[in-house]
Amino acid sequence: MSVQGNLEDITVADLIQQNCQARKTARLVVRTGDKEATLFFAEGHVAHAALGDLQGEEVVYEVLEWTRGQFELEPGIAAPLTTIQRPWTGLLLEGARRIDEKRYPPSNEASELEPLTHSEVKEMEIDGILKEAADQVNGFLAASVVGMDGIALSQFTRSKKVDIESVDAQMTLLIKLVSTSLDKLGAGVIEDVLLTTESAYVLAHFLENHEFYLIIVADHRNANLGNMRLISRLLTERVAKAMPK
Amino acid sequence: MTRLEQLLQEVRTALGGDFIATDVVGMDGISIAGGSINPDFDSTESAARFAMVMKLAAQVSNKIGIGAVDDLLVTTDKTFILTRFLGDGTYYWGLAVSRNAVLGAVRVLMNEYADQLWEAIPR
Repeated sequence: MSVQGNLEDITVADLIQQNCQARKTARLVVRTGDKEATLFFAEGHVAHAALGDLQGEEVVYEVLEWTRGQFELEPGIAAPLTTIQRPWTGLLLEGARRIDEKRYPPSNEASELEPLTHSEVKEMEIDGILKEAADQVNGFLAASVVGMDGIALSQFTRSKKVDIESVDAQMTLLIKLVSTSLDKLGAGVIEDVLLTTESAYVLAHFLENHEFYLIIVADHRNANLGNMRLISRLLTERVAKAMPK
Repeated sequence: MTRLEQLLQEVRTALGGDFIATDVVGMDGISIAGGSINPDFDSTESAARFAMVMKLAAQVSNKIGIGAVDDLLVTTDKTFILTRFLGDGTYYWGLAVSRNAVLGAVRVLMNEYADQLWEAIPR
């Protein structure tokens, strides 16, 4: 059974988020004025989008700008082809960036008073939270906010010994395997993973949406595990609130 | 009851109602002692899956240059799952406890028993 509604009541970004998080297979038709776009969801992704002759990510970015119009969601209809590879979170972030850019077009003359975009403000907020982690976690070496594609949204490091990009990528592999194992075992929903080694603690704490996690690396000799877990939990909540929508 | 089973029984007793499962597992994913008291927690499957996790943890630690793995703690909304290598790393010990367990005490208990378990593995 199809679901219909108005974009004044629910945004395209919300529709994408809900369908991807629920891993639904569905077709979404969105209309505004004389334009009609079609998006297909599959396995937690936006698999395909079309608008006239245009196909792929660019369609999603255009539709994200539509604030008036109607939508119709038809569950169970599979995408006829795949034209989009980017994760849905990346599509929403890029869409938000483009909307900000249109709202606050970059000036030709560089100025210190140039307004920051919404995304830039959010990124700075997350950068600030990671710097706080550095001040509050004993033995702090590095921290980052990482997506499940292993790519960081924000990073901060105090030690040249830690290759944070490598940590992000490798820990994502480990976390994915742990997560799959827990699913199969029915052992509950993963909250955090702590890897203790000879020289370091690596703590990965999931944000509520499970699309990103906060990772903190601390020196094993100087860190206090209780303090590290507490600070990680508190900062994770703040990062979640600061995430660009 | 073997020495290994006896030691695991002591761990189970020490944890009381928080105990869910424990196993001493070869890196081939086969458990040589232990089991689960929770029918929803399949100890055999857990042993195999966490053998893969521990192997990957060792690779990850090696690739990012942070030394040998001591242990891995996974927290879910229901359980704490702790795993650590024993002896030369040919076996690991896994322990699942409820979220009500005192995590610090569980870690101390594992430190206390790890060497004894390694010694008790038949060779």
